[in-house]
Amino acid sequence: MNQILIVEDEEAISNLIRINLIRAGYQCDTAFDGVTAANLLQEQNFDLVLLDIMLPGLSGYEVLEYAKTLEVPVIFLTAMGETDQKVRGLMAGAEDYIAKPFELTELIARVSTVLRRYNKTARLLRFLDIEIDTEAMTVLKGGEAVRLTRKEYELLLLFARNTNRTLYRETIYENVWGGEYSDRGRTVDLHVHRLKKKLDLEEHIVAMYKIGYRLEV
Amino acid sequence: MKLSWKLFFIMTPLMILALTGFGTWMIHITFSESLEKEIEQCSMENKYAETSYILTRRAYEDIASGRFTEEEVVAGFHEVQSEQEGCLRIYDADGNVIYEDNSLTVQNHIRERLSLSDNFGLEICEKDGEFYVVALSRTVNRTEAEVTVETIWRVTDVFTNRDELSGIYRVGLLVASLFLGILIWLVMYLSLQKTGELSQAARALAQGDLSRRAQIKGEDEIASLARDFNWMADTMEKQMNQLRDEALRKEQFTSAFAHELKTPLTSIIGYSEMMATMDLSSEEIRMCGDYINRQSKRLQSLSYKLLDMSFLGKEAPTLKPIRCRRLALQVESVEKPLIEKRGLIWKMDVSDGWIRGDWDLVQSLLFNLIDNGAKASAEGGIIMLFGRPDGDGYAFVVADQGHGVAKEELPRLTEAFYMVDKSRSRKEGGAGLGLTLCSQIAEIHRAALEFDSDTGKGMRICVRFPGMDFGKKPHKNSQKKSQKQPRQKEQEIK
Repeated sequence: MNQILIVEDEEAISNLIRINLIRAGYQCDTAFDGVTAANLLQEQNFDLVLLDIMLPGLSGYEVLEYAKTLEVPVIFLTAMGETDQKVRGLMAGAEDYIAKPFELTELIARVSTVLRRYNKTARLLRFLDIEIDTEAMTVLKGGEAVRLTRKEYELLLLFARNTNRTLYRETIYENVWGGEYSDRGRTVDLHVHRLKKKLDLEEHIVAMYKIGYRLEV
Repeated sequence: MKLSWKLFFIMTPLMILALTGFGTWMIHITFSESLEKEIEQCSMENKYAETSYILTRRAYEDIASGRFTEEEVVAGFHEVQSEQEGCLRIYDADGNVIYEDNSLTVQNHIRERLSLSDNFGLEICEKDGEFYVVALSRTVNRTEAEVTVETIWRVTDVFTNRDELSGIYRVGLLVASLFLGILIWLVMYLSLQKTGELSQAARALAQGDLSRRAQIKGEDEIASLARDFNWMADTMEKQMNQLRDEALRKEQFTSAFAHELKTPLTSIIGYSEMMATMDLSSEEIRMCGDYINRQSKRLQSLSYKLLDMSFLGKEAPTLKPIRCRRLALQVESVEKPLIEKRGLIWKMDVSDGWIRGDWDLVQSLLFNLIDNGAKASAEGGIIMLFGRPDGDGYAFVVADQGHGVAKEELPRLTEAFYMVDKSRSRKEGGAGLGLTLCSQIAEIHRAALEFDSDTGKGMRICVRFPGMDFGKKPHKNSQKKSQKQPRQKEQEIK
């Protein structure tokens, strides 16, 4: 279970991130100012810090410096779409940034990407009778290997990381295929349909009308 | 060619010419004067010899009554003749020498020029490198025997003097020219070098070094040019800094605005996404709804304030006389119930007076200040509105007994989106624009906004409106009373 520290002075946003990360299977601590954040970093081991730049007390950059000395990866949150702030944060050693306002799937995807980069995610993802080995990129169902295409594998991984969350078609397309989603294509539906058949997930992957799909566990 | 060289090449020859002319003239004058003197002496000597000869001869004539020879006369003459410079020679009528004290002869042409009426002549002659003045006078004595007296006077010294003098002068002139030339060039160079410093400063300024000034002292034209230049640079630097500050302020405003806009948006988008995509318990749904609602209200308040501000920025409202007491009563009618609903106590003490202003704006200013005070106050606190004529103008004071603001925070209060206590302001639904709006309204009315507070000591905000420029409305009575009263009241408030 990954331990994530959320440093955000806006209570509403802090809460939003916390609820969603907990649902995605992480453990969270929150700090509302820079000094508390630094203290928490000192006391506990965190796998990742989500850090707002505009903070009371210590500024986000200072907390970032401190987190770097502890070798804790940092994703910073910024309200400005200004490039120089992003660049400054990344130059200062942040792993990634998330610009407000953000989508929750994007938040979770970025968090899991950074954790994976630091080898901090569990190698094996399990749900129902399915086991995914993220390093060997193999899928076992009831102990037997299932052959999936690359896109199907990535689609499965996305569902497995966002169980019980409805994924918009756009989100699925952007995460698995990359690039802008165009409404006309049926790519997503087609792949989801094939995945359902291959893994016998007809009852668990539910189509949400006009929105997308959800893996219910 | 540099200006210093140009001036050098013009000035130096002119000066040499002038010096030469002057020197030559001086030498000439000196020379002519000494020569004149010599000539005079020579002619006097000549006259003296002539007279002396004639007298000698007369004496002989009187004594010897004709029985004497020329030789005796000459011998007698020689006796009375004193030792002297020069050479004296006497000829008889036929041109034979009858007396000479020196063998020196000088070729001259005076004799031919002499006539009966003009029996004296002078000539300057040269012989063997020596100069002489020759004076010749013909005389006719009583016995009608004609004699000619010739005096030869050596004047070589005058000439050599002149030559020596001009020689010395030539050397002197050379030295002086050299010295003056260097001096002129140096003076030109030094004074014009200042222009070099000036142009360096100008170049540095052009390259963006705004703090660079020309370092020139003195009272000459270049120094005054430099002063003007520095003055220009000062003004420019000030304006540049103003522009930079303004740009910085705009940038800060934009980034603060982006933050203020995106923060509630993030919550709204996030919580609504949760509601749309996740199975939530009814309690969670209520929480999401509550967050969305609160953050939307925050956006609403932000947009209203921004609208107000952009309205203020657009056109200056027409300022009309406002009767302060009427305004205060209207403010009270709106604010008193709100204040009391919060469990606070409302107090008002406003004496009458006039200000020039826009009714709605001044009212909005007071609303904002009172709201701020109410937000800062704990239950049971008192919110006070005072109004007193203040000098020529009028001052409103809004005071509370709330948590106050630390002294060092006071100057930043009117900055857009600046919040002393973010979390508290958020809960109260503040956008961080209230006092910015107030300061803009005050600016439109040329009113001064003064803050007085410290942590835990409550806040006292004074708005000083300037006097009205037109004479008919102000009440003289209330103005006279005004001088001391506001101060007293202010003390009470503290």
